[in-house]
This record gives sequence, C-alpha cells and structure tokens, in this order.
Amino acid sequence: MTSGHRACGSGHTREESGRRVAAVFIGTEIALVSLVHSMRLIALALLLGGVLAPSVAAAKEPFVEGQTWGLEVGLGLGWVGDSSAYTRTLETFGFEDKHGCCWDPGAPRFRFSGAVERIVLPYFSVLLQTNLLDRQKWYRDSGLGEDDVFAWSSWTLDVQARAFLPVRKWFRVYAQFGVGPTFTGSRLYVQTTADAEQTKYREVDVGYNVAGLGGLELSSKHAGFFVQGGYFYSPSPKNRFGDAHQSGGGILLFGLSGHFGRPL
Amino acid sequence: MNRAALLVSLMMCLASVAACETDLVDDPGFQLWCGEELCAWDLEEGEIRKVPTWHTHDYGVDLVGAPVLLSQGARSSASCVRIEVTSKVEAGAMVTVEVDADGDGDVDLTVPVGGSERFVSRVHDVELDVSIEGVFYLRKSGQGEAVVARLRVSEECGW
Repeated sequence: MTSGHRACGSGHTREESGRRVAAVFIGTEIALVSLVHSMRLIALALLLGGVLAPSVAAAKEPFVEGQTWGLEVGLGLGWVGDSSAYTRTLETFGFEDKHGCCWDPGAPRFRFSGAVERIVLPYFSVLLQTNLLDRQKWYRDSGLGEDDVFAWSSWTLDVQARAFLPVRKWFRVYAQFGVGPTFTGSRLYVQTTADAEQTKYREVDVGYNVAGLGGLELSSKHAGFFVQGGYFYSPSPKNRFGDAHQSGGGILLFGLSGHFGRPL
Repeated sequence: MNRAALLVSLMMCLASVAACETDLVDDPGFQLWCGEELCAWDLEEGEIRKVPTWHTHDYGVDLVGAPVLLSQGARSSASCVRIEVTSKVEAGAMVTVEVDADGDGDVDLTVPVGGSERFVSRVHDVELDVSIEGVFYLRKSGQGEAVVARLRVSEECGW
C-alpha cells in the first residue's frame, strides 16, 4: 500500500512536477513575451522621444528645475507656395519677381522667431511669439527710367498655447497652437508726377494667422537651444481686389533659449 | 549643381541679357498725372479719370463715356511690335489699340481689347514697321466701364 501509496504519491509528484515544469515553461514564456513587449515598449518609448518611461521621472524632475519664464530666439527657413492670387495679380500688372534667371521661386526663404514663455501649469505654458513670415520684392519696368518696386514683409504677433513633456530636466518635447494678427508692411516706389523722383507709398495690411508648431529643446538650468517646425496659415497681405497672399507655409527654426524665474 | 546645369543656367542668363525691349511709348502705366490730365498722353476726345487699381497708388485710366481717344507719338521706330494691355473692360465698351505706323492719319493696325470682369493682361506681337512719326491710339467707342491700367508698346528684338 505504502509503495502503492508511494507509487501513487510519487506519480502524483511526477504529475505535480510536470505541472510545475509546464508552469515554469508557461511562466518563462509569459516572462519572455512580457520582456519582448517591454522591450518593444521601451523601444517605442525611446523612439517617441521618451513618452512613456520618463514621465514618472519627469514628475520628480521638472524641466529646467521648474523655472517659469523663458525666452526664445530662432532663425531658419520657410517655404511658401510658388504663387498666389496676390502675386498673380502683381504679374497681371506687369511686376516680376526678379532674382535673375537661376532663381527658384519655391526656394526656402529666411525666417525669424522670438518668444516669451510663461509656464502657468505643470506641462503647460503660454507664449507671446512673433515670427517673420514671407517677405518679397517685385519690380516693374516703368518705361520712365527707374523700375517701379513693390516690397512687403509679414510679421505675426501670436498668443500660443504650449503643452510640453519634460523627458529629462534638461530635455523636453512640445506641441503648440497659436492665433493672432499678421501685420504686413508694404512699400510701393513709383513715379506719379512729372518730377523724376519716385514716390514711396507705405501701407500696412492687418490680417490674421493660425499656427501649429512642434519642437524639442535641450537646456541647462538657464540656457539651451531648440529645434522647432510647423505650419502657419496667414492670408496677408491683401490687395484692393481682395486677393490674398499666403505668407505662412512651413517653417523650420533653430534657436537659443533662456530660462529663469521661481518654480511654480 | 553639375556642370551641365550650370552651363544651361549661364546660357539662359546670356539669352535674357541678349533679348532687348525698347519702349515705344512713355508712361505705359498711366502713372503720371498733371492735374486731371495724363502728362504723357494726349486726350483728343472724351473724358478720362485717374482711378486706383490693385493698389491705392498704382493708377489706371478710366475711359469715361464714349467716344474717348488717347494718343501718343512713337518714341522710336521699330519693325516688330509687342503690345501689352492690362485692362478691365465691360462687354460693349469696344476698346481698341490702334497704330498709325507712319503718321499719315490712316490707322494701319487695330487690336481689339477683349472684355473681362476683372483685370487681365494680354500680349499681341505684330510685324509692323513703325516710323518715328508713328502714332499709337487708345480708343473707346461703346458705352460701359473700361479701365486700362497699362498699355505698353515695345520693340521686340529678342533672338
């Protein structure tokens, strides 16, 4: 009996051992699968710029030690469309975007940005931002000597709402959205009297713009740099016929930043 | 940029320099006003008015009522002529550009300016010997609004 019991018992033990082995295998498989998923998640997190794992650390280590004020100055390039209703009207009236034969009208153009940032909530800030958008200079044969010239440059003054994620206390990624007015100053140089001198006529067109931007920033406690890209929609300037020029378009900026002020 | 592209660009630059345009009329943009009159054009008949176009200070000439006739003598002679007209003309206004090539009083060429609801620019290239005595006319014969922002007449001698 005993042996039978033992046999029975040992059989039981073998079954349990088998179950344990199976459980170990299953557990190992689960662990492996979990590890693979974890690795994938970690890779994904790394790929997304540390969206998942560092968020806990972020709560402990706020970006630039939680200082609430920031300054940003950026330079870069912008892309606008080759033509617009506004520029086609200029062409109708004899103006040319003269840059020589080798100029590509779709080539990127200089952009500037400046901003003041105030962090108002954890991971959320408000900016007052200005951007130089498109600026162009057109010429027309006046038939009177000097060419007629028409030039303009567009500036924005936006309030931007920024949501940011402090991946490390020295590194953050962000997305922002803004609206505000666009001011386009234009100058027309034409000869309108029998005098040989040209007359300069200045005008300011006030329009609007909306912007969506994203970026990343690396910073020590007080100074850093950033990369920012996005898109502006800004139908300004407009002419007397209502034809507008999209002065916005895509932008890519590189800049310097500064941080100061007491933590929240 | 590779050498071939550079060569093509240089050739295009040279071609653009080589092409020449000699204006045959003064003030093609109707910009010069001496009071209520155009300084460079003679109003032979009818009434005209200075009006803004795409910009408050980029003017055009409004040919008021009908008939209206503006004229200007040729600045130089030419054997091939390009006529560029930028205008907004209502149907029925019947606007034409006319050329008296040798100044004998007979019109040798008439170019109709088509109607349009907004400003459009049209170009006409014609082979015509215009002497220094030649005269160019802008005529409106029918009723309806007609604003001409630009009438450029030039000699085209591009290669």
